[in-house]
Amino acid sequence: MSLLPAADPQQPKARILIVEDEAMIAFAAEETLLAGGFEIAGVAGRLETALSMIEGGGFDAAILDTNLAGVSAGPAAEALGASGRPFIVVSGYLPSQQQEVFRGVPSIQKPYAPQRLISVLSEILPLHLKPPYISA
Amino acid sequence: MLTDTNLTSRAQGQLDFSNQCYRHLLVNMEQGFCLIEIIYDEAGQAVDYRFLEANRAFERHTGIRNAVGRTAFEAVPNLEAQWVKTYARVAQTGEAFAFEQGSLAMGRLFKVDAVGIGEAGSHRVALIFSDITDRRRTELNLIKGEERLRIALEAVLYSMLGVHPSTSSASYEVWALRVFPADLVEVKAMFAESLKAGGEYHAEYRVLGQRDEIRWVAAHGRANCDVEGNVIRSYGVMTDVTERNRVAEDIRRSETRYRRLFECAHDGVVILDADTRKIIDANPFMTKLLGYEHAELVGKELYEIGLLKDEAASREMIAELNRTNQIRYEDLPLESRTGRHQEVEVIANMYTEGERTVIQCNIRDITERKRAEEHVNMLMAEVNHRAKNLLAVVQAVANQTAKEGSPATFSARLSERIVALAAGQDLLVRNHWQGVELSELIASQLDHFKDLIGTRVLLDGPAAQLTPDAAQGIGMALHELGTNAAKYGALSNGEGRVLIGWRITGDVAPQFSMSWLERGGPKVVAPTRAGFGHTVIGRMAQASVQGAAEIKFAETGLLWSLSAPAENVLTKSAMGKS
Repeated sequence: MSLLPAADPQQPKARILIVEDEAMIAFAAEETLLAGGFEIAGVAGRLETALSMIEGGGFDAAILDTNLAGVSAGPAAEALGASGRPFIVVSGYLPSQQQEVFRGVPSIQKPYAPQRLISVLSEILPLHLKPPYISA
Repeated sequence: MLTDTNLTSRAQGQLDFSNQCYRHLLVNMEQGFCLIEIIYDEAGQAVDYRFLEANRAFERHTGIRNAVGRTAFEAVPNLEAQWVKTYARVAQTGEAFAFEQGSLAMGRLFKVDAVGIGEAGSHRVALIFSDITDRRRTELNLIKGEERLRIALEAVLYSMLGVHPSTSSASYEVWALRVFPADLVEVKAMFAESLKAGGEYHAEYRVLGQRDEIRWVAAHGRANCDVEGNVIRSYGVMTDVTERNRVAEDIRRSETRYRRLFECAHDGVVILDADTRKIIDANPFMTKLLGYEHAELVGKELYEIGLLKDEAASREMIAELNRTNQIRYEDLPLESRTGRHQEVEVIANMYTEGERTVIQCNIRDITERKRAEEHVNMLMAEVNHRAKNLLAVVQAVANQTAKEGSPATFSARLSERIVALAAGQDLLVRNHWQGVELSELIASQLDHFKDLIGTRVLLDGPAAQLTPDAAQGIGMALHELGTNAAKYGALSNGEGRVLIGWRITGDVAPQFSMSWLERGGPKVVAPTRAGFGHTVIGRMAQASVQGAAEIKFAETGLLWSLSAPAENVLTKSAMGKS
């Protein structure tokens, strides 16, 4: 992996949907993603908001917290799966404590280093949407 | 002369008749009779005697056949010489002599009456005798038996009643002294009662033993009474039953103890016959566990009550028990008769019980335990989730704090913010994570200014229990507002005031609103650049309640307000009350 200067300012940025109930973490994720060359498609702190945003589209990938204010984000994972858009799971649970619906999806444990979020997210994106400074 | 002759002749006749009578008597009587003649040698020493006559009974008493005509030594070659001497003396003195004497040669004991016949010095002796061997043996045995009985009695008296043989013989007084005093009256009454009913008695009572210890005896016997009903004597057997009673009592106690254990156990217990595999007993808890009556359980096999899958499983269990004597099944599903599903743990033991081999199965309902285990696992996952989330929050706060101000103030600012987060946690934990009362949250976040609460910091609003999420968002906002007020606002001088108010309005879709209004502080100048504090009271507070936040930098003082649907802010129970 090497850091390269942004070669083409015209290249479209990947639009990311953040599903995270903890405002402070969502805020930090936003900052990380913006700095990493992504665009923020939206932030959902509750399951219903998340489901309607997923249905509304307008994003290329999502990061999904598994627990939204005490409610399982399982339905959001299913909706994302159905939408065909890639997503990663961000959670404080151990993989063994994770519900079945979240298994087999790329995941990061909280707390995470900002760079890790960028690299895991980049891996699931199609080539043309990868941030400019991430080499293929 | 004639007369004399007649007389003589009559007298002669009478004599003949008398002789005939005696002869008849001697010949036919029960005792032995014989007439002997002593034989002397040339020196005049008696050396033998000859049987001249013998009656019918002679042979029976002596065992000698065809004695008449033979001498004593001819009949009994090794006869003791004593006999000859005795009879020779009788013949010589003519005195009658009665004696008892045994003959080893003849193997008999005789009682003999010997009388000399004719003048003194005659050689003839008449003997009337009996073989008393059997009678004497019986008598001797009787004596020996009595001796033995006496010894036995003494031993019994000593061992059971502590009466020393040398001190006393068995008597009513001795016995009465050794009966445990508390029992004596009762035992005497019982004796009297049983005597009336025929003389036999059976009694169990306590006596004082060898070392004056209390022992139990069982007495059985018979008492003889005179016509007036007084006891002449009684005889019987006394058995020491102390040990028997103690063992019986131990068994009874043990039985009671284990029966109670069986009846009261909070485990189901069934006992199976290892041969038939059928239930022979089940405790009350088992009947409760399964919903079957005791009588319905008895005779069934385990698979018939849903404990094992099928008969094959039942057989397999017994085969396994034959190898190991114990099996433990964890997590067997068990359906009660009513269809209630429960998780059970079964421990089966095999052991012998007298003649038969039984299997004891202890069945424990572990439904609750499993539920508790699941709950603990769930809690562990929650703790992990929350702890990591919090660390992620701290991480974000640290990163944001690092972006503002100088490295010198970083540490102090970060610490304050972490302390504010921790204070929110404390409140949540204290309320079992159910929520936080808003007034408590304010007091906790404005801890630096607690002396001013009620004077310069005024609170106004109804009871409102916030959800954990809302409490964290609003709590952090309050912390930032307080810090800002102390640095630049109403709490930075000596007279400014902060008014914190909140209310819940509307019935159909209640709305929560809250405001922070500062007055009397230095003239407010809007900041040129929005820092992290601004983000916290703005979009972060907003996000935590899915509502709207507003910040106004009026010259008279800062106004911060937050509004959201009450259901996003308040706990369910608080919603129910409002």
